[in-house]
Amino acid sequence: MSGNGNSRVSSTESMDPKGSDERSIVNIADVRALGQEAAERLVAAKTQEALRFEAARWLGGDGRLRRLFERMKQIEPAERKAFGQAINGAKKAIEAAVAEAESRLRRDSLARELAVAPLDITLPGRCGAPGTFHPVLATGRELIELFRSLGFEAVSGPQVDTYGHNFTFLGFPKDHPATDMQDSFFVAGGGAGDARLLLRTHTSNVQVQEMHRREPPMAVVSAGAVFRRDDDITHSPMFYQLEGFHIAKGISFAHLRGTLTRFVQALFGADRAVRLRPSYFPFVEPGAELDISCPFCEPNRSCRVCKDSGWVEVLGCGMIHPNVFEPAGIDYERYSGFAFGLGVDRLAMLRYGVRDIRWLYANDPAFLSNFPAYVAGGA
Amino acid sequence: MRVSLTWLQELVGEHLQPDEVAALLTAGGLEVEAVTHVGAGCEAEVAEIVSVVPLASQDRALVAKSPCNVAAMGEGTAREGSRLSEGGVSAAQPSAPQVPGRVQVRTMPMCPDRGARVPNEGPHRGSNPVADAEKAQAFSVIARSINGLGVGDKVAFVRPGRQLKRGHRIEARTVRGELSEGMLCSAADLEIADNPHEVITLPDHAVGTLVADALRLEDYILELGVTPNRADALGHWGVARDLCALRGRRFEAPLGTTCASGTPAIALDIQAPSVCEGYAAVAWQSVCLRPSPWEVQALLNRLGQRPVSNIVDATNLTLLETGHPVHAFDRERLAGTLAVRMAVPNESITLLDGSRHVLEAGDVVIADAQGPQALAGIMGGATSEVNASTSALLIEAAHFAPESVRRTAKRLGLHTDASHRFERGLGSQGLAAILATCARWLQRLGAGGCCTGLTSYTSMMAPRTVQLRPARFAAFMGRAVAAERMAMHLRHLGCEVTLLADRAGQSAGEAPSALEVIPPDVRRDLTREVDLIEEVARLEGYETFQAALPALVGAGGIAPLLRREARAAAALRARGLGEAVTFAFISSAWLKIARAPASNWPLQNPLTDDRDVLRPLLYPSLLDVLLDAQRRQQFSAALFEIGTVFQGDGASPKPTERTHLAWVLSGTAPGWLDGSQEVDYYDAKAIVEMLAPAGALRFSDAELPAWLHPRQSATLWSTEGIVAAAEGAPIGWVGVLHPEVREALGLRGAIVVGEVELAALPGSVASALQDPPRFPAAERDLAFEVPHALRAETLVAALRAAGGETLVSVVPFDLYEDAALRAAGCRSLAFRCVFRDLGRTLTDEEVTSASQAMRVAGERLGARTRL
Ligand SMILES: [Zn+2]
Repeated sequence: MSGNGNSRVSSTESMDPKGSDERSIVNIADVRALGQEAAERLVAAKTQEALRFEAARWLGGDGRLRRLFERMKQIEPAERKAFGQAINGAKKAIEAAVAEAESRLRRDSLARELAVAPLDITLPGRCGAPGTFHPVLATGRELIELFRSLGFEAVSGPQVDTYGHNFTFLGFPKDHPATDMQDSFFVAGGGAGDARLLLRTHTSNVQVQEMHRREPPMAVVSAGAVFRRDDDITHSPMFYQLEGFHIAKGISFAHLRGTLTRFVQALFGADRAVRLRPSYFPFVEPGAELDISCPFCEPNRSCRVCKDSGWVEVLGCGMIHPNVFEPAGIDYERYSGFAFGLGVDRLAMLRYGVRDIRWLYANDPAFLSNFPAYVAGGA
Repeated sequence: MRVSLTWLQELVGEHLQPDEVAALLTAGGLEVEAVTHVGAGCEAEVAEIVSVVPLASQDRALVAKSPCNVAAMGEGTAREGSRLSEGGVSAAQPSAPQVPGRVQVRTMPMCPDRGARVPNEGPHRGSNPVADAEKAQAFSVIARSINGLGVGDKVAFVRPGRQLKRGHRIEARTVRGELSEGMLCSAADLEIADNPHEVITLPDHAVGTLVADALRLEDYILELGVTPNRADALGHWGVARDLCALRGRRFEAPLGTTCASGTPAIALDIQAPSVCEGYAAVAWQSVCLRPSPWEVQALLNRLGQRPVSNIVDATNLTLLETGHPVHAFDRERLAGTLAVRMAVPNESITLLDGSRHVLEAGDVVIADAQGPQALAGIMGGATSEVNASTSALLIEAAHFAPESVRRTAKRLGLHTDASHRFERGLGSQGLAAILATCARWLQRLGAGGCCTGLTSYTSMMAPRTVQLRPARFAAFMGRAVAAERMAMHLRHLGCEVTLLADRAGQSAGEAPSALEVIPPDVRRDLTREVDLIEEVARLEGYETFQAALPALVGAGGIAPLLRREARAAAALRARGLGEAVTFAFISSAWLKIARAPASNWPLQNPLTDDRDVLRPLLYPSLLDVLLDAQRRQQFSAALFEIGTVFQGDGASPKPTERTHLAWVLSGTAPGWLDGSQEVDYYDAKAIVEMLAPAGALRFSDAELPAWLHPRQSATLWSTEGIVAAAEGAPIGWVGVLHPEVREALGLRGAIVVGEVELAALPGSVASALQDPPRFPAAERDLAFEVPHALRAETLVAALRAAGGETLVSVVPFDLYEDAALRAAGCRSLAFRCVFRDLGRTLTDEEVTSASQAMRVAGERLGARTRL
């Protein structure tokens, strides 16, 4: 409201034929009339800007009241006091009128803001939809976090590895049907025998990697893609596994059971029963499969998941076999350890009710849209 | 493997419930995957034929469509690739044409309580037992085949209102105006054998007997998932042994029929003792080849073996019972000495299944003077196959080395019941008992004749002794088990156990320090202490061992790259991208069309040609996903993948595995309110800016990959990440897919892609912490017309340099182009410049003068100020 404002005031003034000239005002009545006029004009102001303009015109540094004050010396000394009081009175009245008009305008403006036509609040936001998570990766990440909370360190391992790391160092007998359980993809360019390259058939190669790299004690968990030459409704040539193992002095079967029970209950709820039954994996002994009481059974209904057995197989586990310790140079008499491996896909399929494993890796946009990555979502 | 509960009950001498057996075996490590109740509810009875009249030939087609047709019942009998002989006299040869006919049968009145013998079945619909009994017990049936049927023959008959099997009720029905009261059963109808046509006859059973009782059809079949270490459990004996041990006792195998003859069966020459620890054979004279009794055929059929003839069935039953394969040669077709030897290269053999194979040096054969007569442990040869004219047998039971059998079987693609067992490692010490079992079956199946000679060879082997320390067991399992109790468990499994005291001076009452264990020959998987620990633990029951938590050994760390992966994925998901997972292998042809570098890592045995190499980059996989999406009319997509790529040249011993992040956006950008705009370079680049501070990355048009638009793409450069970037190579790239590549791949619309090596991304640049400012900032906007040759990066650098110390930021906020500007080779760029002093409020004059200096600096570079 400095220089610019003044020039605008004067230009408007000249365009205002009804505007009284303060130079002609000589008595108190005129001052009062001036105050009256100001009040009327302020009341008439329709916008904040017009109000500001009017207020400056009357009250500003170069405003009309100011000019009236300047005329004080021309007034008879006897009338001066009364004249001054009149001007002050007019000033107060104008100030009050300005305040009143300001508050009226603010009210009007808010009222207008509130009186707009209602928005269609059901239309979507500008671009707020989240992306989607992958059910297998999300499950894998959750499992990794769970095992980290039990003290396991998360690492990754190579997907292309040698026959030795994938089979021989894990105690798979040569030319034994145990290797039939895991039909491999071989990769060109490796050596022969144990040096032959393949896509790992399980994440257990991480055991070999870490045992050769570290000294016990160690507790390690690793998840990732594994590969077997199978492609049908229950087999995908690539799928996801998670491997964990804990090697220290005095580790026993009880620790295997304790750790895995803790894990299952964290994942599926504290009321899940856990059952270990003997099984065979070349790299563990005693070997076991871990079943949990079926979380999907409903009373009086046939259960597709457990086929009414009441148990769902979750993972394979066992005490690490001496055949695995020995090539890694770990003394089997001093140290012991347990290991476990689970199918992350399988858990994801159980969790999300996916019926065909191949859907997991087809990346169909419609399928993936089943898994929106909401903050309040599951993953 | 299938196990018959009735057989198992006979072997263990106890009547156990199927659920009980399944639970016990599963808890002991022989997982019962399924239990099937077979023969349940079969109400067929034995009836006698009173008359047989062929139907006129024009009725044949109609009769063949009867509900008795096995195909209409939808009940196939499962086959487990048995490769044993299908020659010989099959019980049911559908050679003669089918002649349908009307058959009158007579049977006994139905006992009133008979309906009750079928468990879990409600009262018979519309049947009143008393009324049944009063009815004349004669029925007239239209049979689809009367071949071989005559008056007086006894047949399996289901009367109207009764069930063939559970859920399959037979009703009287009219066939072309003629009433057919019931059904005559074929072997297939009764699930005894395959033949769906011939009506079976039951000469040995009384009229009125229930066929299910007469042929012992009702059974429970346990489907066992036997793990590869348990060769011993691939027969009923082994399962019975475990079952007994789990019930706290020792299994005794039933005795067979031992050969009384003292003469050798054949001259034997074991030329390859390294692959044959033992070989035994008996000669059997004057055999009579015939079908096995229906009861036995039914048992074989339930266990997945096709009944063939009593001789072949006897060998199969021996395999099923003992778990050890035996083979019957036609003795008269063998000439001279029988040798177990390595094959001579290029020697060939024709096997029982008719296949012919050329052998290699590593194969083991049983050969006579004429040549190979059997492929050891896999299959017999066609030349000496048992057939209708066979009258003398040589029956072999042997041990063959597992690796050798496996190699040959695998190479020739012959996976047989025999090779399946030999590969897993069978014993060599009990061969005589196995031959005796086979002899018992031959007798029972009416083969006649007698054993006339026995030949046997066993290489002498020292018994394997394994020690088991109770203290070790306790430490390993977290619970002690008394030495005597461990010994008991192991003895139940057939081990010989000696309790060892601690050297000298140990008094009688002290606990033994170790068990010295000799495992039975059939348990070749028991070779070290931990094997015995597992045996004791599983017989104790895994559930009897308590749980405990170990002391923590780590702090739950995570590898930096894994942390980065998780964070990147979360950020991209939050930005609206979908997380994809594609295969690590891809088509080399697709890579070529996508102009990606060729893979140096082909698969040697891909499943399909379109997944034949390991991927060198991620983007071709995502474009493949995009193509799939477009085929489903989904043109707007936003996807990313964090995955492994396989790089490094073929000279390196292994691929270099790197974790890449790739993203692809196509169609319209998200945001419906602002009009649908096609995605462009800046959408793709925005992803990079979330990943790493833009200042630490350099965008360049150097070394642009061939799959990107040459003028709308950039390479990414950085020097520091978790790993150092490869020398002279960008860490990634981003841009518009090259239009030619888009066309070649069959993709449509706007497509932008980006890919970066995740570990090579620079992390946040560490710098001194900035206190929150106490004085207000001032803003000035600068707008220029900028020639295309002048890049924003250069211009901004100049503006920053000219803006002085109080200039905090220069951020572009508007990009504008129109025809006039384009004609002038320019675009309009506007920048918002923010100024601030930490110690005071800047004056108008100071800010104006600084922005003036910036304007001049811009103009000096060729940008023209816009007003
Ligand atoms: Zn269930």
